[in-house]
Amino acid sequence: MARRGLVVAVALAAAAWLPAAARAAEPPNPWPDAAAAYLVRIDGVERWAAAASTRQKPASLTKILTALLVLEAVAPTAEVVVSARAARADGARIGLAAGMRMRVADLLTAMLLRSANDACLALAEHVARSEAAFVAQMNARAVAMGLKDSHFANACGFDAPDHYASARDLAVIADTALAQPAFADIVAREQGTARTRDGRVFRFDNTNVLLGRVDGARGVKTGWTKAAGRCLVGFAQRGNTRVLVVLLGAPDRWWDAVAMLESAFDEARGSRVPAPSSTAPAPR
Amino acid sequence: MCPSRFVRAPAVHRSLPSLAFALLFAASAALAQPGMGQQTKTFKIGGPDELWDVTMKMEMPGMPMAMPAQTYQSCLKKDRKGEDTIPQQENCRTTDVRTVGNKVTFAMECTGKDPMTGRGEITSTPTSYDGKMQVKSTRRGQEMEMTQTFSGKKVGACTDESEKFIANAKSAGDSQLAKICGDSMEALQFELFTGKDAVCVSQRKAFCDKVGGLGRDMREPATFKAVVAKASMDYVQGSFRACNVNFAETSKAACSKALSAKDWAFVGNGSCDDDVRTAGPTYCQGRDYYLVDRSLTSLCNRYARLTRGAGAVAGAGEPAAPGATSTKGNAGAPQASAPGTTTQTVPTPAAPKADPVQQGVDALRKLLPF
Repeated sequence: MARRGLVVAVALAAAAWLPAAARAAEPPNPWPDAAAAYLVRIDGVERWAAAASTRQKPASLTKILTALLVLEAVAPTAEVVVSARAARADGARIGLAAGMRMRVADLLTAMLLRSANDACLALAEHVARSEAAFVAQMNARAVAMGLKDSHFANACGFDAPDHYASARDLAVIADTALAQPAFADIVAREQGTARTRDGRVFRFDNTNVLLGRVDGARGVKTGWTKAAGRCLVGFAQRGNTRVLVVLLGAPDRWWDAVAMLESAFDEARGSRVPAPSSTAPAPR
Repeated sequence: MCPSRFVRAPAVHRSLPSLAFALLFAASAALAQPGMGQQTKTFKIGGPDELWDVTMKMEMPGMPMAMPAQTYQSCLKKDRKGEDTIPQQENCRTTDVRTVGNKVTFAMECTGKDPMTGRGEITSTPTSYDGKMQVKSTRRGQEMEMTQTFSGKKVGACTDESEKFIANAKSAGDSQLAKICGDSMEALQFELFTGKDAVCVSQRKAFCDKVGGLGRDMREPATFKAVVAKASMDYVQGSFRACNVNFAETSKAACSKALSAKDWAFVGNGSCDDDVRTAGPTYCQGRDYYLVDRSLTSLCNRYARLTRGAGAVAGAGEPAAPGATSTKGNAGAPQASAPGTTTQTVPTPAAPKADPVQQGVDALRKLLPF
């Protein structure tokens, strides 16, 4: 009992010290209510963040890593046969049927723009024969990238106790994926199509509504699950300035992502616009 | 013309106002002879003048190795004086020059980044000369002494063309400068016209007349946009400031017109923030971002930028935003919810935030043996 009391006392003292220490290491947090965790990077340098190293549910942002592994493993023109298991995938899907034959590039487009879980599973199974084997590859790749706060239990972002990632790790994954021209090309599209070998065409809009609405927006990916909340990795480039935002558990992700992107570009050009501090009601 | 005009290695001139100086410097450096760089010939062989071979050497006590001698050729005017053999340096002036018979004595004083003083003497015949100069300087608080020796030998005939060379270099510099100033006026690069040592300062009035005209013309949103697209907002604002033209008035007038015309792309461009705050509640407030009409995104993006963040009450009093969706909700994997994004409204609790007390406990559990 006395030992427990000591732990609590010292813990309280440490708690008083920790936030100050954290403040010294972490970038400023001008959007304290925006998300469970977020990160804004300007030209690769962290500018604003909150809880960026905490382990969160990444939802479909997981598919960024999935796409990266697929592109590293197989050619975009390779043909995939959709399995019965993939065709039964839950959540967002485009309605694939077992036995359909499709190009990797089409499945990637469906997975990244529509967040289609059927396309995601079909790709994972194509690359590693089983989702479990693919997930092992994902975790090995995460370790290789030096990600300390990420672990994946499935290929597509379903909530699970041992499925998590930090905002900081997701920024690294997104950067690595965006360096792949095929990936960058797909996530920049506002609409997509996916064709089966026998001529069936699926058409869908990108769930990332920043495209076409924010000057310079070039992707990347949305995510949502009940446990994760609304998530987003957004990327925009104006001139030579590149801004990446990661929001996890962000109730109002679009408005906040827009505010972060616009603030970041203002910051980058040394704007004299006052820092966000207005008392006017915020848009939703 | 002096037989051994030389300059120190040129300093790096980074700022544009130094351009004029740099151009003139380039002309004089082209005449520079020994030592630091490639010699540029400013004479041709044969003619009325005298061709000399010159050797120069610098010795510094304490240097482990002697510096190699530098040699070059120089063309002296036939009617040269004895003191023309004194080495010349940038930022240096020669004083106390005395000629007695065939001997010239002199003092030298250099200012600038590396100030130094020196005294020297040169003894010459019609076909040769020998000289020596003692130099004292202070670098980083340390006094240094050097001895410079130099000698010359007449080896033939030449025609000195250095004056023509200088004239050509100056003419090239002038035309380059004219082009730079013309381009810079178009781009509103105000530093080149209004800074203290601005390279185009002679055109300052013309520049500010132009900016004054923009102060009137840019009250039209279309002109405003065109000017900013060409010169960038930073240069526009800097030019107005440098020429004491009121940018706020011009901008306000343009914004007012744009607001009346519902030119939202203009209103949201960053120059009309008062108008953004006025219009934002009507056109952006309380709407889902993805339902905002695309013609309004510039306005609403700016409104979000101005109103969300530290100090703003994010979303207070607003109805809950529609959730991201899933065509099949969360049915499916046990203990797992499915990632998706469609239309079902689901209030989404944010993930729990880090608790500092728990962090402290966790940290101590790692550190302490209990």
